Amino acid sequence: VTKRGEQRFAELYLQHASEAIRLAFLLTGDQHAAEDIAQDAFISLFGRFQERKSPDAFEAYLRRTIVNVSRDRFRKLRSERRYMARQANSSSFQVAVAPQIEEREVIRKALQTLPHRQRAALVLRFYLDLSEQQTADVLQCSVPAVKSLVTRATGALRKRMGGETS
Amino acid sequence: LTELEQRLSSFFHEEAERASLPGAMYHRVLRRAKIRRGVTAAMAGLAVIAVSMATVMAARAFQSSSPIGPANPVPSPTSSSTHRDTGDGVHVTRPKVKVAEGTVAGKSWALIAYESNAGLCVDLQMSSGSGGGCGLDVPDKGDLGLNLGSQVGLPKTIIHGIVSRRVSTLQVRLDDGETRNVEIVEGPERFEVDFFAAFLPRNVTGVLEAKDHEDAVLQKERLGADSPDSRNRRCDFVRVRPTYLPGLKPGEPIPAPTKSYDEVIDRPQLSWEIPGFAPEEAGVGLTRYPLPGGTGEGRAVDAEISGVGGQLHAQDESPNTVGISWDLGERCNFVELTLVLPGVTQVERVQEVTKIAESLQETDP
Repeated sequence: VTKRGEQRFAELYLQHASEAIRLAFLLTGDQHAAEDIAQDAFISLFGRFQERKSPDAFEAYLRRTIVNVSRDRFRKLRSERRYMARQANSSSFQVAVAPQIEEREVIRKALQTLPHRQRAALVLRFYLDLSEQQTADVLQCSVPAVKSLVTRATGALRKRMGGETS
Repeated sequence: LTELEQRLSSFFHEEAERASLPGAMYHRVLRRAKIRRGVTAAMAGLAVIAVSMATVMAARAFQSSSPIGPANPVPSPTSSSTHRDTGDGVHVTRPKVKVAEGTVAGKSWALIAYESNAGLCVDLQMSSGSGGGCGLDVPDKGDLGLNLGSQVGLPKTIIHGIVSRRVSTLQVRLDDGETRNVEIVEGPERFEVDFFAAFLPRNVTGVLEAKDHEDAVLQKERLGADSPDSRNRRCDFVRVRPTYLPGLKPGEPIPAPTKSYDEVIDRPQLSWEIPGFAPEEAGVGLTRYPLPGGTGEGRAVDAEISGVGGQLHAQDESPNTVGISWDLGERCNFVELTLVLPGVTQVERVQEVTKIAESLQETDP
């Protein structure tokens, strides 16, 4: 790795690290996981983009890599999360929360029940404001598939959030 | 945006603010990236070498695998240098067809043809084993595609393959002056080629010639020990296989290895992935190549290949890597077992590679 390569990588890192962690955080809901995922994404792109001149290409690859890495992690942790969910449900503690926080908690919990790709589609569309085509590029699927993911995700959220709030 | 979509957008933006941003993370990333690059470099030898399908011919030696279909590809010692082993990547894309059959020395045989991702494949199948090749560039780049092999227990040199429909005569001219005609079998229309199979005396030397209807030689292939291929004979894949690999559950079968060949250093290599790791991060490799000077000093281990004890090399290696090597004293003397396994201690890594080495067993030639 050349000094120039390292310098280029540092520039790309400084430019994109914050957004990478935020994206990973929204995909996982976990700060530590988000940092790990962002790190892994940068590491996997290290070397491949040291000499590239197109920052747009790096951003697109980074997003795709983060989605892919978080998906892998999601699969790995799914069983763990199920176990934790059972534990949480068995708890008898009730926590009083302010209405605003309660609203966020409802959304957060509902989002956690979504399959990874549905959640990723929502984050890409409504956080990053990517177009359907751009979202399809990141998820490596077709535009109709993105529409379907978003429709199913919002449908599921409506159902779950409706149930929660009522 | 619908109301829900607006709520989601607000939620995501608020949530994103909760994510704490990187401080000293960059240096961690850089350090890990460098380590990873080191591992990747160490694994370069374990990676599958991409082979252009246009030049691929899996010259699979005859071996003891009874089912129809691509036997585990092993390079034929007599295969041409342009006819490379495809590793385990041959996938059948259309149903197999028996194009010829017969008996030799009391054993029945069948010639099986099928399309694959590596091109047209032809296997000669016998009850005691099968072998053949894929990617024969006939009729696109030639008129004769030859598979050459032998089989344990059968005192014959087996030739079989395909010819273009320009070929009307196929003839073996043995070096002792004898000439033998080889029957051409008309192939099913879908293949657009014809087929042949013949059983010649063991250790035959001569030339196989494909001629057109005017008796002009369209293409010829040298058979036997005097061929240029034999003079420049490359190292064969090592004939031992592990019966233990890290990450496999008890009783889980050992997967077939990925095969590759590095022409530059004449190194055939078998490699296995380790479950739970990306191929570029971890793996087991078993390689063989000429290395004048032998294995160098290591720590003697009990594991033997052909009666030769191995030497463990666990220091000054690439990251996460340990190796055991053997000097077999032949031209292709150097056999090396390599384990790249991150996430464990070096002591555990050594234990694992030793366990793999001790599990090595000879396969049938």
